[in-house]
Amino acid sequence: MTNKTTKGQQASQQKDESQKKIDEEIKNIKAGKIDYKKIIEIGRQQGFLNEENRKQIWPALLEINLSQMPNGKIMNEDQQSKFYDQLKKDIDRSIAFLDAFQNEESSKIKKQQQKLFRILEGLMQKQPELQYYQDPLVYPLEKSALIQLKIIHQLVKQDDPQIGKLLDEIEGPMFSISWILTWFAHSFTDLNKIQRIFDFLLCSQPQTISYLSAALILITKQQLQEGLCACDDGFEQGVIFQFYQNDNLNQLEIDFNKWFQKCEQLEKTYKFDKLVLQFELPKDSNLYENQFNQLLKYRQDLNRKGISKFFFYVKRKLSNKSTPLYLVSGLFAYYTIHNKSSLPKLLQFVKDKIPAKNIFSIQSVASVAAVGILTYYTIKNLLFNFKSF
Amino acid sequence: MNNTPYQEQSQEYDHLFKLVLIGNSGVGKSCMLMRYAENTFTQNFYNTIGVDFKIKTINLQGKQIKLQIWDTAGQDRFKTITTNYYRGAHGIVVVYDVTDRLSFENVKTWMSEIEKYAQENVCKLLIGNKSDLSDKRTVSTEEGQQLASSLKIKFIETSAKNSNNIDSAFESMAQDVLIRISDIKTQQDNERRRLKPGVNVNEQKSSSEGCC
Repeated sequence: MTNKTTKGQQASQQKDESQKKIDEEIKNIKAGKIDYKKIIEIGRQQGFLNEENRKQIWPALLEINLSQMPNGKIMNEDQQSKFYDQLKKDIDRSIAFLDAFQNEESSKIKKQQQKLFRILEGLMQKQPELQYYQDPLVYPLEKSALIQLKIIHQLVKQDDPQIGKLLDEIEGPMFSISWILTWFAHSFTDLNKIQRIFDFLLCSQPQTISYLSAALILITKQQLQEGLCACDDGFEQGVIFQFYQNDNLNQLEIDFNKWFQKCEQLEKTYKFDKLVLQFELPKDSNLYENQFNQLLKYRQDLNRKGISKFFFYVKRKLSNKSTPLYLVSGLFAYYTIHNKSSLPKLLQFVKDKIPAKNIFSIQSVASVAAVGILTYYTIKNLLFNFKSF
Repeated sequence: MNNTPYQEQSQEYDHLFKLVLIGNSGVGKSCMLMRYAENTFTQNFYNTIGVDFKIKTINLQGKQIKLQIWDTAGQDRFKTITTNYYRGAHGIVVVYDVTDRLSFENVKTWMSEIEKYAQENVCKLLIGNKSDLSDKRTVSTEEGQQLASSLKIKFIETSAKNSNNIDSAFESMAQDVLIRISDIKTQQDNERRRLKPGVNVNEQKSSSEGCC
């Protein structure tokens, strides 16, 4: 009895602490000082707990100024987007399958569906370049989700060759397509779970959905293998498909902490910029754009963190006389180009980071970079088989 | 947990047939399959993204037949994915909605997709679904019949909602596949007599192309 209460107290105490951290960040957001680093840490480690918190934090992450939003009237009644009919069909099939709406009156569900319709149709009217895939997307499948499927496949293969081989046999993890397109919103019926996943992914790089999908396959592999043992030969594809299908996925007791930890481990072990070298990444694919063209500030910040880490590495190498200069500068240039940051921008960044009295001047950094770029272009074909450059 | 459909797969079977459901978005492919495989129906069913999958084992002429049924997304943009599943199919079911004229007019497009991506001898069936919605009907039974006979395929009207004809539609499809398989088997047996023993003639293609 006492044991139970202390446990309960502990849990609520922990919840209080978690909420405290969030309150702090919401205060910062309201004051216009958004601490992306902190928010990202919270989003990935504990999530934002409830809808009230999310209402404040998600828009901040996405750089949406709520006060400037049109008042729920983005849809024009006299106009129809080219996806109007498809949207109408899909709206009737949305929301209602969530656990929270299972015992809800149909009129209330209809009302929610109508709200969603007005938002999506309005979006399609305003942004005709968007493609609607029962989930709005900018890129056609060949240039987005299908490449992400390959990345999931590759990650699984590298982390667990046995499961990777299984995926080879069934021609890739096609069952993951809805995971990629909807961030698992199509798979889980518990809205809390979906929101927790969104907390995590909104605080991650765009490619993290591929890592998260691979992580799910990897943490459930034991249950999957048990199912496969019981099955007949030549039937793997069916068994695997059924295993990851929504009805079964909802019944599996997935430990979200374990899942996210696995994802983080994959992110650390198989760095995305190295991983993509194994693929031909079309220049107009979303992955290419995502990697080189970070649109959101906090994601730029994540990248910059990478730069300063790299810069530290270069600095260390520079002070070590035995490291050939061309190698260091080549690496430097590689990083600059790879992150599509222009040289002046990078130099400005360096200037901000390094105090003036430091061992080498900006000019020397510039010359190192210049030599490096030359070296880089000369040896790039030997070093990297990266056709997109 | 033990009763999930996923766990029930270790039964013996004589044949494994792969069937694929295609047709416009919203005609009720997933609901038909839910009705057939799990005998449930819900108005609140979610849309299909990519492909879904169900299994049903039936008994036909004393044979245990395992049906592996792939349910595809109807939206055009998923075709890159869904057409991959035509290739290995024994049977393809084209579904339209009797209350949705456009889905009926699109049957021809779906048929040409089959031509393009499926095996030549794949079994085909045309289904007009939602036959329960008689007051909203825009495609008559005769029209469906006519189209089917012009395409030289079987036709049936179904209702996933009230279960009408669902079982018989899938069973008729399985029946056709069984006949076709037996035909091929007889052909293979004849061929086998001409070949040396021990040669693998299991694959339909290699048997017809021969080994020399």
